[in-house]
Amino acid sequence: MTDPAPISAARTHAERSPARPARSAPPAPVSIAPPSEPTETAIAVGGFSAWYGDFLALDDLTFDIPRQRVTSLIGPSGCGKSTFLWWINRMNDLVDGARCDGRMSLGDVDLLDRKLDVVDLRRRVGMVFQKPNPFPKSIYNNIAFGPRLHAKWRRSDLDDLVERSLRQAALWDEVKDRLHKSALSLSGGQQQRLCIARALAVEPDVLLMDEPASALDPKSTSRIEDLIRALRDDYTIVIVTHNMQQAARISDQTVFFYEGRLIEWGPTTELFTNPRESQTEDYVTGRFG
Amino acid sequence: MSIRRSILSMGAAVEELVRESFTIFLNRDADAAEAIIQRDRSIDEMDVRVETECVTVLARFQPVARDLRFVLAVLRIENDLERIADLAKGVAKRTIDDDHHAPIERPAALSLMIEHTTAMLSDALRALADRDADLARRVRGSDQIVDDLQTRIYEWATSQIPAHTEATAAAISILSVTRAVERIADLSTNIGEDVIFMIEGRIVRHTQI
Repeated sequence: MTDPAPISAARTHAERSPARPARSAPPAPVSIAPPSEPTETAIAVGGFSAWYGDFLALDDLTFDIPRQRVTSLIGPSGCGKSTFLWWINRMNDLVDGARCDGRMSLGDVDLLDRKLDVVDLRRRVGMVFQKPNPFPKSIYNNIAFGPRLHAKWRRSDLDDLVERSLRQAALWDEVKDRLHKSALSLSGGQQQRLCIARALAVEPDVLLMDEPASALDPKSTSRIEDLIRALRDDYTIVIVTHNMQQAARISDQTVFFYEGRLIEWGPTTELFTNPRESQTEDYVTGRFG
Repeated sequence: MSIRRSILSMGAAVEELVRESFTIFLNRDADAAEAIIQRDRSIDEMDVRVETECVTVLARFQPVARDLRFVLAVLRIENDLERIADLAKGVAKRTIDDDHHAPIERPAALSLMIEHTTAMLSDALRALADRDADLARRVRGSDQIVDDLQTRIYEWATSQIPAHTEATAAAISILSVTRAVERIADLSTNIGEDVIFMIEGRIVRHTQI
């Protein structure tokens, strides 16, 4: 839960496309390989396309995101990675002219259902952005904000939740003596871990991360990566990154997008040692993009 | 800095060293052996240079996919080439030792084994230079021929040593060279397998052809 303001589904839902408009060339054949240690599917994507106005941003994507694994989305700027991420928790509802077609489901929840309660969805699907965005409140209240939106809490239970969330985000030891100080007094890396703790406080199933370490120094980046690895056992994590080495280090599955199309997806080790598609090979080796 | 150029230069130098050490052994040319033994030092220098270049590329560029496979394959091949050079040096040393032994008529299988092994090394290095996985696979296929020839030479020694006890040292020398030749064939096979990995991304070691 990273968005403080409840969003009305009826007011903000982007229109679903009633029919797919004609596209140019069909997508290239997709190489499909299951993850090395398969888990059941958390998010299933089938024939999913998305537009901004007339611009086709995502073109007929079909793949699965495994539960309790880290999935990296890679590809050059403008390939549709963030657009895809934003559709998972319906951030695109806020974008004029955004529409989509196809299927995307989280368990038995149709993520594209226009009647879906997006406030509840964003409790189940947390989001961490590129730039740390703590609320201008105390460290404690940053964590407590989301849970308080969803339920009434006894103070002691809330204290426990704040501590648990900060521990999960590997931040507790650094802030336990100044919980009521402003979150803005924290370093950039600490602020980002606070944002992760804030997302964890509402006990989501899925954590979306849009370049969560790109604004951080190497040490803070390393801590975020350690954290992502530690959280993998309990959460389904989808991360957008431009850092190839980061994708190789932290993810179990990697998905390569190019110009809105899914070129290849599969186990990260395979994609970074022996990709099936020449476009993937050229991208991960830095020959384009 | 070009890892490719460096590993191919090292390969060419090792191949030449192997050919010459085999030739002087077959010709019993002990006078030429010392020069070959000294040349091993320049191979060691090439070995260090190739490894340094690979480590630099790994540290600075974190290669992936075909670039990663290339660097990994070169690291293994460089190690195999260095060991092949050591074995060739050992054959040259045997040539000097042999000069002091009572001679024995050498088995026909020995020159055949040397011929096959030299071809295997040459093909493995050509497969590396030309990125030719099919040729690399043929190198793997030749290894059994060398193993069979080695068995024939052991059988020859078993019958010859009791019959020519005065030439036991020379026969043991032949067995020792045979062992070195067989190891060079094995290491050439390894190079072929690394070339297959480099091109196709498949680890074929410990698998059937």
